[in-house]
Amino acid sequence: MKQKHIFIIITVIIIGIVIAFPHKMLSPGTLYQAHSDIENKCFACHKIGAGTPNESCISCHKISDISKNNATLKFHKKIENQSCISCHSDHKGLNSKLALNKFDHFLLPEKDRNSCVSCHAQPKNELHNQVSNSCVSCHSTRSWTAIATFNHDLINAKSRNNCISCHQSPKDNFHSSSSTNCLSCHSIKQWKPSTFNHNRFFILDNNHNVSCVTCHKTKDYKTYTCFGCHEHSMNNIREEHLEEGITNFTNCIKCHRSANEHDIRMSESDVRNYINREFKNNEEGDDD
Amino acid sequence: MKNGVILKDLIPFAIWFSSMIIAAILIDVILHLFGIVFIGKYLGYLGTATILFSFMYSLKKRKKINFSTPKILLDYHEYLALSGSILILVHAGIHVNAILPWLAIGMLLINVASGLVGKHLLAQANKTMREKKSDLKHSGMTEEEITKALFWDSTAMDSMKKWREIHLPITYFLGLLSLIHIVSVIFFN
Repeated sequence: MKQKHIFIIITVIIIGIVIAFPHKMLSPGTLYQAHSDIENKCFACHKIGAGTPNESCISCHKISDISKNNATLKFHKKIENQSCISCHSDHKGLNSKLALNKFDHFLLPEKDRNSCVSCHAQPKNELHNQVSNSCVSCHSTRSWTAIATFNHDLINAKSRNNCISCHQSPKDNFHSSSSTNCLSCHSIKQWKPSTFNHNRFFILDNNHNVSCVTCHKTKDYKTYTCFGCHEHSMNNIREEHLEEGITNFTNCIKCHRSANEHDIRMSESDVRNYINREFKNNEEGDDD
Repeated sequence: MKNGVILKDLIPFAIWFSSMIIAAILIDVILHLFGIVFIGKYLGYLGTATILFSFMYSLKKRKKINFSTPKILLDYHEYLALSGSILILVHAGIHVNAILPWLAIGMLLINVASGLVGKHLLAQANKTMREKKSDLKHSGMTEEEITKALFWDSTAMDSMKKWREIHLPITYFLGLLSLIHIVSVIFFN
């Protein structure tokens, strides 16, 4: 019985404190600067059981007053049936910007929701001039930049293969020296991995599956060296090639297309001609 | 002895309690990531309903309902109250400004902690009773004598009774603070 009385007394005290200090006990935060004069007057905005009706806001803020320009007025006219607090809340601190909620596009009438340009100006850049479809194909109402996957089919056919009209060409020597179309190596689904076919130049077998810098010492991928590994020392290669009468043995891929020394790029007659030419050059050199 | 208390008592308590906090943080992070923070408001309703539903056990103990068994409803009470508390924590997020919701959240955490202590004490009491029953059986007592002896051995149950004297007022004040919060929300929103 005694315990029951203690419970009742504490309950009454708690309820009493809430009624005596409602602002401290219940207010979810400070009002913004311009509303500081009604900081403790809850019922200036709130109506019992009716939340915060638009009438409370409009009693001070006329739509014609809050709209600084024609576009803002036009925008507010579109959503005049919505609750003001859907966008303009309060109790979030002195800075009024904090009290502006993220705009929910579902507040707009369907007609305007599907016509982005009725509120947003279309960006005036090359990319947006080329795309022909609606904004929502790439952008969502959640975020302008939240593009899941850009569908390249939206670009008009003429510009679709001209990648550098939107993308910057990489500045490394490999790409700057390449004149071929980007699509011959890269796909429109993703930039990496590229489908660059190294086998066109040299087949990378198991013994040559190494990092690029083992052979390409600089960013100029046109230059390379085969003397970067212990298998191919300059002396070994020189000896082997001089036996055949070949003195130009630094540009390996001119003849070799793979690690197999017999897999020669040239035909047998071309090889013979090449060796003869080398002999002749050497003899002329000796005469000098 | 000291290690035993840490391993058997403190670590399980810390795991349960921190799991609840981590689960609430994870759900909150997911809501923020997917831009669906507004769901937090409705998790308050769901959490409250879940906790209220867990009180079926209390109704059963006071013989207000006839279905199910106290053992099953106690299990539900534990898990539903914990799940409801997670939802309420997500509902509160870290955006509580007024004093009253802070007090309510503080009381919720104290209540969960108290519930975990009760869970532990009940497990301990059951273990003690089992051990005593086994000892009495070995001493040659009949089943009837054992039941009689254990009925009068209230040492294990005393701790539960003392714990209940603390848990119930905590629950009452959690209910009171929550009710004032709900009424104020209905009043102003």
